[in-house]
Amino acid sequence: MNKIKKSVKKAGLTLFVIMLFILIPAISAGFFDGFKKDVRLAPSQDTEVAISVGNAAPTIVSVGAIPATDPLSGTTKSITFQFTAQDSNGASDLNDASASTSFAKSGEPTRTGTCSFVSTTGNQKTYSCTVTMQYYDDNGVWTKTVSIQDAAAATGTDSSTSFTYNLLRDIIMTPTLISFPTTIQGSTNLLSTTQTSITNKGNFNTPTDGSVQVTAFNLKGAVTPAQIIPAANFNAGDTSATNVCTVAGGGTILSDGVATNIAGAGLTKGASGGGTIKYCLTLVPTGISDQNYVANVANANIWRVGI
Amino acid sequence: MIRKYKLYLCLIFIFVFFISLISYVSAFGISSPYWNTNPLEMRVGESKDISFNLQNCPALSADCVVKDENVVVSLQEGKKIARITSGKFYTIPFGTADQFIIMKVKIPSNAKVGDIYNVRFSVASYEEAGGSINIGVEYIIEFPVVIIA
Repeated sequence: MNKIKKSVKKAGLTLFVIMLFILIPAISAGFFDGFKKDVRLAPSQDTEVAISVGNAAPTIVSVGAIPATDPLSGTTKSITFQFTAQDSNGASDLNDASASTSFAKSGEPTRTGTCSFVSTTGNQKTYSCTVTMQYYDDNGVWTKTVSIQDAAAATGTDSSTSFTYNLLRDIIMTPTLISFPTTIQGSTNLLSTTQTSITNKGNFNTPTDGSVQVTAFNLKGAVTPAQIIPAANFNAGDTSATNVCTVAGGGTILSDGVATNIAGAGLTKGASGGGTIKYCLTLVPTGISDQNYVANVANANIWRVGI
Repeated sequence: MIRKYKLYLCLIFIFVFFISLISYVSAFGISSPYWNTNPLEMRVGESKDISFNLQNCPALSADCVVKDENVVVSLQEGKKIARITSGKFYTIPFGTADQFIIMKVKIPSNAKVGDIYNVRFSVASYEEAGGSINIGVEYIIEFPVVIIA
């Protein structure tokens, strides 16, 4: 009996050793890996890692503010500001030559500018930009756009900021002499022999920003100031008036000391912007003496053309 | 012949008016940060100085007359909240754009949000010249002041 037990033990031991020889290489070769649920690599175990890294587009970090800006009469105005761009691939990835800017307003030509590199901080670059505005560019809010590309031509753009371009009233009046023909008491409807030519050196235009106005004053006798030709005896109108001597013809009756809007008088803006005002003396009063009738500093009755 | 000439002179001196409007080339300008559709927004009790830029042909263009411009400023409306603090009379040197009219605007403490005040002032050129009838330039600057929360 003991002999049988010994044989069974011996056979079991032999089988264990055989299984050991079979299992050890199998485990070592990962034969049972499919049955494992958690696999943890030992810290010192080598492994291969492959990550695909794509290009990151530049972003605009900040755009410098532009205060409300005055146009410059009859010429251009250069407006300078800075913006900062960032590229997570590194500042060197930003293409300096591609930095650009523009100002835009609905109904107006877009004004483009130029930008140049200023400095680098980390993965950011700062650029200085200058845009040239015309004196006749519309007053109001203009949108600033800045953009830049990286080496892969990916673009970063920002149009979230704006600035105000102010309203410039600036006109030049010519000629220096406006005259009426010689006349006598009781005469009617005398047209001025010259007209007031207005050159617009600003960005004011009618009717959007207002009207052309004439403030007339009674003409006083140079010898007898008590005698006058009333301002209300004068009409004014622009070149569109078919007969400035009548209201129906497009003329506007002037009033002593009152800024009177001239009906239909247009003042355009632009490189050749302007307008023209002509006048009519509708009635020379009777009962006034023969003398010059004047409006001057001494009599505090200078006429004014305004906007 | 002499008789005819005398008659002509008589007509000139007795019946004839010569009316001339002598103007000078005026070339000053004023730039405003506010206008009818671009109101100044302020709060109750707030005080603010506003600048209006005066110019006299800074481009030195050929159509300007080389001379300084004398202008006078007159506040016409809004005296309850606004006053000109930089003076009434200005001489704008030719070729410049660096002079300003300063207006102080102060909103009273009893103003209410939503109130609108209108401010209006004129800037006119004046000329100490002779001649018959002079004509000058006048700009009317007008803008609303809106009280906000």
